[in-house]
Amino acid sequence: MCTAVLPMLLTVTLCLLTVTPARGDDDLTSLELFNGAEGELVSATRSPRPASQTAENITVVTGDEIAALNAHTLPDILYAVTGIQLETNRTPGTSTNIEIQGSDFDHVLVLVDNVPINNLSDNFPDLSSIPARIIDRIEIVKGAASSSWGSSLGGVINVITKLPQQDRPIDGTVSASYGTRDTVDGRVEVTGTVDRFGYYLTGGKLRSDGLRRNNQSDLESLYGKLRYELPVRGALTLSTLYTARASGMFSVPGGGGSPSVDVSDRNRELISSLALLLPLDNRFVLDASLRTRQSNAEMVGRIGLPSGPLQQTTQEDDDSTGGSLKVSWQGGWQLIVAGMDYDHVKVALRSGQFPGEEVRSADRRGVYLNDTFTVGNVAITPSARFDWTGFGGNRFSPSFGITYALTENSLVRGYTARGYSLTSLNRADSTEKVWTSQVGFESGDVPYLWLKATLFRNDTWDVLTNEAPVIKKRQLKHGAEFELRTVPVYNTSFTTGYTYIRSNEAGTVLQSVPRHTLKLGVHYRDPSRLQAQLVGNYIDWQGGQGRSNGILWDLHLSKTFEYSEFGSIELFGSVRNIFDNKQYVLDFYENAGRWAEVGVRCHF
Amino acid sequence: MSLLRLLLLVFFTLAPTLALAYDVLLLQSMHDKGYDEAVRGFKRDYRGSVRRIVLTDYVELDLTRINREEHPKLIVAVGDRALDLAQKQHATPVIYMMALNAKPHRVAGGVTMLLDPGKYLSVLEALGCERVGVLYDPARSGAYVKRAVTLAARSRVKLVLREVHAPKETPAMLASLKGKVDALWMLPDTTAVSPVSTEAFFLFSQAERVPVVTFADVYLSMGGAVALTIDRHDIGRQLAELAQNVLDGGQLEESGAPPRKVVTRTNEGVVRQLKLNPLAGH
Repeated sequence: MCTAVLPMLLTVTLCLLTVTPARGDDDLTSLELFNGAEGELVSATRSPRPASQTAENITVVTGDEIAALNAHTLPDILYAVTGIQLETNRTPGTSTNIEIQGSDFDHVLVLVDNVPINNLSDNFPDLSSIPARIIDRIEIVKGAASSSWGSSLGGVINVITKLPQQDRPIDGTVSASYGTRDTVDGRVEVTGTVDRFGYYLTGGKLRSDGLRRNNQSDLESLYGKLRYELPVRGALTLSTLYTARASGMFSVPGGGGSPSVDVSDRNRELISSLALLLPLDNRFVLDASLRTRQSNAEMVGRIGLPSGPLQQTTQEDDDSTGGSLKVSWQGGWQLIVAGMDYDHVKVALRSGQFPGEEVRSADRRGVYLNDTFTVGNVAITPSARFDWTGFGGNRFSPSFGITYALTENSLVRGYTARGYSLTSLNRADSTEKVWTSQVGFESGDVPYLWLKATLFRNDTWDVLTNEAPVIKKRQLKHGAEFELRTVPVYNTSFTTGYTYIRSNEAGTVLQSVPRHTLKLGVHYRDPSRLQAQLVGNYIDWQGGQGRSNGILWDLHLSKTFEYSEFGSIELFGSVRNIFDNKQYVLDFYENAGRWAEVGVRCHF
Repeated sequence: MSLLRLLLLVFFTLAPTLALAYDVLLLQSMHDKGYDEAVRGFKRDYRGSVRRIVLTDYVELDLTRINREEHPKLIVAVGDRALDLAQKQHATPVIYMMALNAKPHRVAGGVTMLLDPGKYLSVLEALGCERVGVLYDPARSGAYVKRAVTLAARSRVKLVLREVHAPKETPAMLASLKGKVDALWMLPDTTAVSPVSTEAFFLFSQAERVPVVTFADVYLSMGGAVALTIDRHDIGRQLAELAQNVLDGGQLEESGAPPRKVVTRTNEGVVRQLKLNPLAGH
């Protein structure tokens, strides 16, 4: 298959080298109109991005960065983010575990338009069900964020979906790609705004025969967002995402007397939210939302025994319904945000091994108060939240942050917080706790560079083991994180991110907690809208069954041809894991080898 | 101890005093003399705290993050790109100036770059021109031309309209006005007036011996007769008043206000050559 795709990719690359003029900038044309062609224009790009005022360690992935990656689902985007480790990097659309600064996967809260998608039985967020094309931006908080979000010991990934196109009544995109092992991704998007009413509708299908054994995928998704701008300022937004996924998780070949094991999963999920944003005046803003998540998941294990195959099925129905109310008040020196959350959650488990249905439900409530107090160049952020978790006890989560602006574009930040994670609705007293402390520096003052450095310390206790009987342990993970970006020189810019984590549990180094994580990026974009991106990812998984034998390099190419009459056509292609390296935590979750794909996006 | 106090005093004296708490985030598309002049006018009359960000100073500017973390009460957009970006911050009111091409939404008010059409009509009337040719792109200037037609109905001026949908159509549309107009009214419309078509207006003016009334000084040296231009500094001052009004709880007008001050300049040579009425009072 690879031999068929690579010549296609080469052809696409040659097509991409064709140059067409770029569209003019509106500001330049209006300045030229008023000043004449000889008008003086001064433009000096000096910093990749400005420093911001937040005390937490936050990384934002913007729409442009997402578009350059030729991503299929959410993990393809998070893969390139500093401080994030993906345990498995396999066929698009198959399940993936994610860690932030070496946290466990069930410590990360993932939200889509403020709706949590972590399941209730083991707090697993199914990232691979979220199509990349619906995402406008991703905001990642590293370290505990419980003083705002409740259960989020390791961090928060907040996925913000696209808004309707505002300038036209109708706008559309059709995209399709084809790659190794019949990996096909097709999508149609329609969006626009008529008077006060905006809409964004999309549907797509991703499928693959599987880049690894029993790692096939089939993901269908429908997404819609309706937005009504109120006659006064503010808006009402209804969003719904439906996904149906069937995929192979892993395969353990038999032999030597051991049976073979194939594990697959199926999942149907509906996430909806109705949100009201209403600025009452220039000081008060009201945010209110209703949300629901309904999920049906099934895991099927086939064990190849000499007496015949044995199939075991576990089913989980996972529902939550709730809402939030938030009020922000801004004074001269102060911003106060107060809010409350309520969710009724219910999980029903049916297992082939243990007949019958186990049902658990709970009412979760939380109230919080966050204050940002700014005096001169110092901003202080005390926050606190109290949660009635319904089954994991009552939790108080305070945090305190401080930032000091050294210059307009340089900042020192410090943040400390207590947080928790509800790791399972089915295990009594499964709440794990953390104290996180982060100290950082961010600057855009060095010409042509943007730098960020953070020291972190995450002290976690009541961590549940998978052994029997279950015992609770204390873990310490501390380390440092560095990020660097450059401005483009000859249309080329560089990014790098490095995370060092030192971990121990009762004096013993923790296995499979990544000690070194390195992210590299080389980005090229010329005025003719030829774009190339080389992304490198290295994770040293530190022992266990894992392997880390080199950097995984991915190359993404795209070229956009503008046609003023009807829109634009973008040709793109990617080669992933160019040098066919190995990087995984467990043998049976071996990462995908080299594979390639080509595609086209038509915007009209 | 006194040394420690002295060191602390020196530290706090020398420490930068950037005020992160501010009311207005001034977002400017790029460095330009005209934009800077408008910003100077704004800062002259607006006494509150302002943070200014010039978009071209940064390769990546995450305005959503800045807005959420620094909580400005108002965004002042200067230029088209700045307005386009500012309007995506739905919870924060936006006012704008020096934005010609962007489409302001209903949450944004401001001062446009388009003078009240009545000012042009009175000048055309004073010049003694009755049939006035106007080239415009309906997608860009349709609403403005509609207002001009309504106002013209109350005057002696009759507008002879020609639509252009691409810059290359301008010379042909001008040719279709031969013998049918006493003057040309050049609009700030980037489809009708582009680097490739500007000369055609003045060639028409010379050939047909009709004056061109325009919107920028730069066209006087090319052969324009009269220019009614905006005063960028005063636009900034006008916007400062609007900003204060919004911060005091006033509602934004859905459509932008025209600049209140008009600067009229004439090319005396052309006026004499074409034997036009002098512009007394303008």
